[in-house]
Amino acid sequence: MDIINEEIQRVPQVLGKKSFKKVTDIIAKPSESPAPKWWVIGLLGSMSLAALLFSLIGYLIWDGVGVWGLNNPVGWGFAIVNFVFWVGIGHAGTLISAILFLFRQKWRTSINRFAEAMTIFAVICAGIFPGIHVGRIWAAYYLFPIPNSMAMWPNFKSALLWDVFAVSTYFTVSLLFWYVGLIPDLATFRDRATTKVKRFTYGLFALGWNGSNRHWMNYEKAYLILAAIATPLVLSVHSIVSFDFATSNLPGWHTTIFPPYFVAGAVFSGFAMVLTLLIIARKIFKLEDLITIRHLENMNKFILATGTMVGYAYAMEFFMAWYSANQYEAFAFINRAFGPYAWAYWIMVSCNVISPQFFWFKKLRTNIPIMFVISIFVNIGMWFERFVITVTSLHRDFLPSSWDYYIPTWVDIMTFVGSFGLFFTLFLLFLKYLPIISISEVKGVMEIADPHYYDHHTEDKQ
Amino acid sequence: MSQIKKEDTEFQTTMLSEPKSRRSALKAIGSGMTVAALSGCVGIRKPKQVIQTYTKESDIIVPGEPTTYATSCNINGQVNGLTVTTHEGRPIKLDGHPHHPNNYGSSNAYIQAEIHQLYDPDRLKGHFSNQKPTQFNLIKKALSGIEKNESIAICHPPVRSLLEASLLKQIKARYPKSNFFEISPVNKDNQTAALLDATNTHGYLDYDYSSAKMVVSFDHDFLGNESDTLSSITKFIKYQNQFTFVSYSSSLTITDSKANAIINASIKSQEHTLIYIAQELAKTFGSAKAIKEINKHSFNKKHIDTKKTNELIKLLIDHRSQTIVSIGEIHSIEMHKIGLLINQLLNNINRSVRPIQLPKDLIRVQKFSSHASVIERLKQLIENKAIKTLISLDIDLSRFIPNVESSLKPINTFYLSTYKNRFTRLAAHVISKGHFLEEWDLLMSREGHISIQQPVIQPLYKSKSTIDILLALLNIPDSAYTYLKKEIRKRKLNETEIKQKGLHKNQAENVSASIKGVSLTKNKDNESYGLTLSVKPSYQLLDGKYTNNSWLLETPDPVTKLTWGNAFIISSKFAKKETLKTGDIIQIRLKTSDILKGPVIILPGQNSQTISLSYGYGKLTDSAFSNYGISADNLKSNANYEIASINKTNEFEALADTQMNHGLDEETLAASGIKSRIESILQIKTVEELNHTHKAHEPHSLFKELSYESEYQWGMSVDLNACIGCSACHVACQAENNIPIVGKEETQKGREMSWIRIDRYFIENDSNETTINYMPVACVHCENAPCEQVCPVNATVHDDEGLNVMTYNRCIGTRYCANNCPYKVRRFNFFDWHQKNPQSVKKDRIHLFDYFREPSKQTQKQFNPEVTVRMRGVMEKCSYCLQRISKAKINAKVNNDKSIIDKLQTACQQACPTNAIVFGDINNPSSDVSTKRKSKRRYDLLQYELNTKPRTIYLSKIKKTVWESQKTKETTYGYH
Repeated sequence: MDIINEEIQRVPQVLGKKSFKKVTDIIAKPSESPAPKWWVIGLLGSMSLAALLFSLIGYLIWDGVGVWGLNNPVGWGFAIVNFVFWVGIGHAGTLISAILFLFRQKWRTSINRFAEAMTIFAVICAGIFPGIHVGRIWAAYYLFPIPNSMAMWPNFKSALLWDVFAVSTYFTVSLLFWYVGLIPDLATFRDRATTKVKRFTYGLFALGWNGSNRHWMNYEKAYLILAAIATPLVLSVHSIVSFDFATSNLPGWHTTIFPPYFVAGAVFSGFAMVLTLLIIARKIFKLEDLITIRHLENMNKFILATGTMVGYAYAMEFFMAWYSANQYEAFAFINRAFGPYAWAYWIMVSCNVISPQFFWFKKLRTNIPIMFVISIFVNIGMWFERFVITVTSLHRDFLPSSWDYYIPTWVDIMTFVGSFGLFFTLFLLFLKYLPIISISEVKGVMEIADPHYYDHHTEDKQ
Repeated sequence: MSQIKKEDTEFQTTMLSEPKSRRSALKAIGSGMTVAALSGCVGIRKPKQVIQTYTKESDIIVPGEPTTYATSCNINGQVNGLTVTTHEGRPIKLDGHPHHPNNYGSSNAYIQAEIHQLYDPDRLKGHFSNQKPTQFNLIKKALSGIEKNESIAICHPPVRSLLEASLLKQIKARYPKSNFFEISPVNKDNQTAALLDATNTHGYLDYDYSSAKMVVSFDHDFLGNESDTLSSITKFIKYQNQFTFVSYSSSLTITDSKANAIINASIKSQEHTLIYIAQELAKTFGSAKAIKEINKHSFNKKHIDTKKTNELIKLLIDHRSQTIVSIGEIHSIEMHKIGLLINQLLNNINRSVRPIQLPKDLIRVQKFSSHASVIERLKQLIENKAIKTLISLDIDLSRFIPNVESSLKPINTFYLSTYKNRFTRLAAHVISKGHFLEEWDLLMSREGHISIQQPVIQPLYKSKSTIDILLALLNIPDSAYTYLKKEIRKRKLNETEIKQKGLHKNQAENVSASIKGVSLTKNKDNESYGLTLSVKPSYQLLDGKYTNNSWLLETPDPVTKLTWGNAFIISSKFAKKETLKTGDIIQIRLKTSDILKGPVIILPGQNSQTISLSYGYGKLTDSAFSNYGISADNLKSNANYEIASINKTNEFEALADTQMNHGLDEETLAASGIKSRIESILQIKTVEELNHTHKAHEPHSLFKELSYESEYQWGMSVDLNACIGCSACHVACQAENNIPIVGKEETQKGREMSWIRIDRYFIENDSNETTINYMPVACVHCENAPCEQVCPVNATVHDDEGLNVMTYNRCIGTRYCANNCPYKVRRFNFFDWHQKNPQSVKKDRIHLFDYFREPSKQTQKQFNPEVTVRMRGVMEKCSYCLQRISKAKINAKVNNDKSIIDKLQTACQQACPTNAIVFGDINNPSSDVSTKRKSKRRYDLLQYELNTKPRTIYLSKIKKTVWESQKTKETTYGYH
C-alpha cells in the first residue's frame, strides 16, 4: 500500500461483522427472554434493601432526626454525605449523553443509555436525603415558593434553596432527555412485542413512533436541544451543591475552589460508577462487541483526568489554608489530615488520588479486573470525600468548647445501604425491561451504516 | 447596682395579717380560689374539670400578668431572700430578693432549680404507716401519744427557722429525755470547731475583701460550694482588682478561676506549706506562746514550693493586717487552727478576717459537735437501744448509719421525707414533706436577717412541713401560720416591714469574737505522702438533696463539665503512670477498706497525688433520676482518704461531658489548635496591655449591611473578669425559657439544649501554672448574622431592634443555621425531649400522628406561659429573653415610663451573683450596657475574623502578675 494513500484507520465502534438485526436481537434479548435466576435473586435482594430504606425513613419520621448520630457541632452527617454522593454519581450520565453528544463523540452511543439511566436512579436516591434530613418533614414544602396565606416566602439568599431548584431541574431535564432518547427504541420493542400487554405498554410510551422521516427530524432536533439544555446543568448542579458548603463561613467549607472541584469530583465518581456497572452488565449480557474495550479505556482516561483534578484540588486547599494565613482555616485542614478523622481523610486520598494513577499505563487501563477494582475504590473514595468535607469541618470549628465527635448510628449506616437497594431495584428493572444500549444510535455508528460501506467492500473484492 | 433603694410594693406579702378591710378580704378569697381552681384542674391547656370563675375579680391576679411574691428559703444553712413569679397561682420562677442582704437579688443554681424541685412528680404524695397509706391525723395521734419520759431523738438539718428553734426548745422542755441531732453532710465543721477552740464562741469567719490587699487560700472554694453568702461572692468580685489572690489547689475549683496565681499542691503539701508559713511568720511576729504552739508541728521542705511560698510570705508581710488567709473545709481542724494563727500573726483578725458569733436564736439547742461525732453518737444510741422514738426531719439516716435496718426495728420511727428511699422502707411512719413554696416559716440567716417564708401555692400533695410535725409533737393545735404570727408578735417584729418586704434586716453590728490563742496538738505523722482521695460536695447535687433534679443533673459541673454523674478526677501525670484514659473504670480501695468503683476523668490542674470525687451522687431515692454517678455515701464530704490500691478494670463508661477536654494533656494536635486561638477568644490581658492596645481594624462588609434605626437597640455585655462559672445563669435560663433536659445518653452524644453554656478553658500561664477560665456563651445576636443568610425558609431573621429572632413555626429544621453559626449556640430538638423524658406521662387524648406522651402534669404547671414550648425538629437559641423585652416595652409605653426599660433584666443577668452579665439598650448612652461597651476591656468575639458584629460583647479578664520572676520578664515584653 502506498504511504500517501494510507489513512488513519478509525477503530470501529462495534466489533464483529454484525447486521442491524443482530444488534437489535442482542439488545432486545433480555426483555424478550424469561427472567434469569440471578436477576430474580438480585431484584429480591435489592427490593428488601429498598424496603429497609423506607422503613428506616418511617422510623426517622416517627421518632425524629435524633435516630441519626448528629449532634451539636455536627448538624449534617450521613444524609448530606449520601445526597452529595448520589448527585455526584448522576453527573457521568449527563456528561456522557449531553456533552459528548454535542462534541460528536460517537463512542458514547453504546454507553449513554446506561449512564443516563444510572443518572436518573442516582438522582432519585439523592433526592430522598435532603427531603428526609429536615427536622419537620411535614413542613418541608415551605422550601417551595408556593403562594400561601401564612405570609411565608423562601429565602432566596440560602444556598439550600438554590439546591432545591438545581436538583429538581436537573432531575426533570435528565428524565426528559433520557425518555426522548428512548422513544425510537421503545417503538422497536413495541414492534417486536409478543404479548398484548407488552405491546400496549411499550406502545404507550413510544408515543406512536413509526420511524417516518418527519419523526426522525423532530426527534433529532429535540434531542439536540435537550442536550444543549442538559450541558450547563452538568456544571451548574454540582456547583450549586458545592455552594451549600462554599457560601457558609465554616473553615473547610468556605472555599472558592469548591464549584470546579465538586464538578470534577462528580464526573470522577459518576464515571467510576458507570464503569462498575458496565463491566458487570457487559459480561452478563455478552455486550463485549457493542461496549468494546475502547469504550472502557476512554472512560478510564476520564477517571484519570478528573481524579488528578480532584487531587489537585486537595493540594490546593492545603496550599490556600497555609497561604491565607488564617489560623482557623489552617487548623481545619491539619485536623482533617491528622485529627480524629484522619482515617477518613487518608482513605479518601488513597482511593481518589493514588488509585486512578494506575491508569497512566495502557496495560492497566485496558485490564478489566484492574479497572473494576479501581472503579470500586473511586466510589468508596468519593463517598469519603463528602464525609471528610462535611463532618471534619463541622466537628471542630471556631470555638474549641463546642468541638465534638460524630459517630453514625446503625440507622445512618443502614439508610445508606438501603439507598443502594433502591438504586439497584430500579437498575435491575431497567436492565430487564428497557433497551440498555441505544439501538438506533448504535446502528448509526456501525460500519454498515456508513453510506460508503459497500463501496469499500466492493473495492476490496476487486 | 445590687441594691434597690425604693420600697417596692411589688414584693409585698399577702395573707400575712388578718384581712382588715372588705377589700383585702375579697383579695385573699379571690387569690385562694385561683390557687384552688388551678391545683384542681388536671391539665392547664385542656382542663377537664370545672373551672370556678371569679365572682369578684381579684386585684392582684390578672390572667396573663405574673404576680411576684417575696419569700425566702434555707438551702443547707444558707438563707436567701427570694421573689417568686407566679402565673395564675402557679409559681414558675424563683429569683433573688433585691433587698435581702444575703443575696441582693442574685441567686445560684440551687435556688433556680428549686422550682423544678417543687413540681417534681416523683415526690412522696401521701403518708404511710407501716408501708400502708394512711391519714396524717392518725400519725398526728401517734406523735402526740408519745410519753413525756420517752427518749426521743430528733434528727434535723441545720436550723435556720426561728419557729423550729423555738419549737425545739419547747420540745426539750416538754420531753426532757429528747435529744437533737443536727445532720448536714456538707458543713463547715472544721472551721467552726477551730473557731470554737480559739475563740470559745460558736460562729463563722467573715472575710472583708474591701480592705484586703492579698488573699491566699488553701483549697478553699469560697466562691463555690463553701461560699458564705451570695453577697460575699459579689463583694469578692467587686474588690478583686484591689488585691492579689493566690490559691493553693489540689484540684481546680471555680474559685481558682479568679486566682492570680495557682500553686498546684496536694493536701499534705498544703499542710506543710501552712506550717512553714506559720513558723516563718511566728519568727517575726509571734509571741512566745505562738512560737511554742506552732513548733509542735514540723514541715519538710521537699513538699513545699519554697520559691513561691517565700515570695508569698514576703507579700503577706508587706500587706500585714490587710490580708486574708483562708483554709478550705477539706483541711483538718488543726490546719484551720494554723490558719487562724497565721491570720492572727498577720494582724488580720477583726480587720480583714472577722470571726462572727452566730445569732443567739440559731445556736443549737445542744452544744456544737461535728457531723461525724453526731452520727457516731446517734449510731451508738440506736444500737444500744437507748432511743424509743426517732423523728427524722427529711434526713435519710440509712445513708449515714450503715446496716441501720436491724437496730431500727424496736424504735418507733417517724420520717418526714420528700422522696421514697431506703429509710422510708424502714420507718414505721412516713410523712410526705412539702416544698418550701408550700409552707409557712420564719427564717433567720446566719447574719441575723429575719425573712418570711410564705407559701405561694397550696400543697400539691398532702404534704406536711417540719413545723407541722413539731407542732403535732407538742400537741399545739395551731397551724404553722398561726404559730408564725404568734412568733412575730412575740419577737416584736415590725409587722408592716415583714408584710411589705418579707424581710427584717439585722441592723445591729454582728458580734465579733476575739482570738484568745490557738492551741495546737503535736502532729503525728506528716511524712506519709501517698495518694489521697478528696471528697468534695457536688456543684450540682450539693449533699444529694438534688439527687432527682434533672435540671441540676444536666447542668455541667463547672470544672469537669460532666453532667449526669461524677467521676474520679485524676491528673494526666497519674493517668500516664497508670495508663488510664478518660472514661476508664477503676476500682479504688481505701485504707479504711471501703471500695469505690467508677470512671476517671483526666483534668489539667489536678494534683498528681490527689484523686478528687464529688459527694452526693449515686442512688439515694426511688425516683426517676436518682441513680447516676459514683456514690460516696460511705465516706464523708470534705474529707481526705488515703488510698490503699487502685485497680484498672476492663470496663469503660462514655462520660456525658458537654465540653470535651481536648488539648493541654490529651491530644497534641487539638491542643496546639486551641493554644493558637485562645488568645483571640479569651483576650486575657494585663492592665498595661489593655492601656496599650490599639483598636483593631474594623473589617468591612461587601454587602449592604442592615441598618438598625429602631428606638431600642438591645445589647449585652459579659464581664469575664467577674464570671466565676457558677452556672446560676444556666439554670435560670432553663427555668425561664422552658428548656428541656435530654438525659445522659443524649448529652453524651452532644445534644444538650441549654441556651447559655459556660465554656471552660484551661490555660497554662507564664509561670507554668494551669489556670481555669470561664466564658459564658449564648447567642450573641450578630448584626451580620451568618445563620440568617443560610436559612432557606426565613425562619431566623433580624428584627429592627437588633435581635436575631427564631420563628419556630417556620423552622423546618435543616440545621444549616447551626452549622453556619461560628459560636455554635444554636440548639436543635433532635427528638421531642418532653416525651423522651422518663417523667413524662401518657397523653390524656391520643391523636393519630401525634405522639403518645406529654410532660407530667406537674411539669406542665412549671412551664413559663410566656415562652413557647418547642416541638421536635426545630432549632432554638437564646432570645435575649424576648418575652421580658416585650413586656418591658409594653409597660414603658403604657405607663410612659422609660425607667422600666432601664430595669429590664434577662433571666441570666438577674440570677448572676457577680453581675457579670449586663443587658440593656445600647442606644441609651447612659445605660449600663452602653458604659460597658466603652470599656477598654471590650472585645467582640470572632468579630475580627468574621465581621459578625455581635451584640453581646465581652470584657476581657485581667491578668495580674504575682511572681517576681514573671514581673521582670514582663518588662522585656513588647507590645505592638
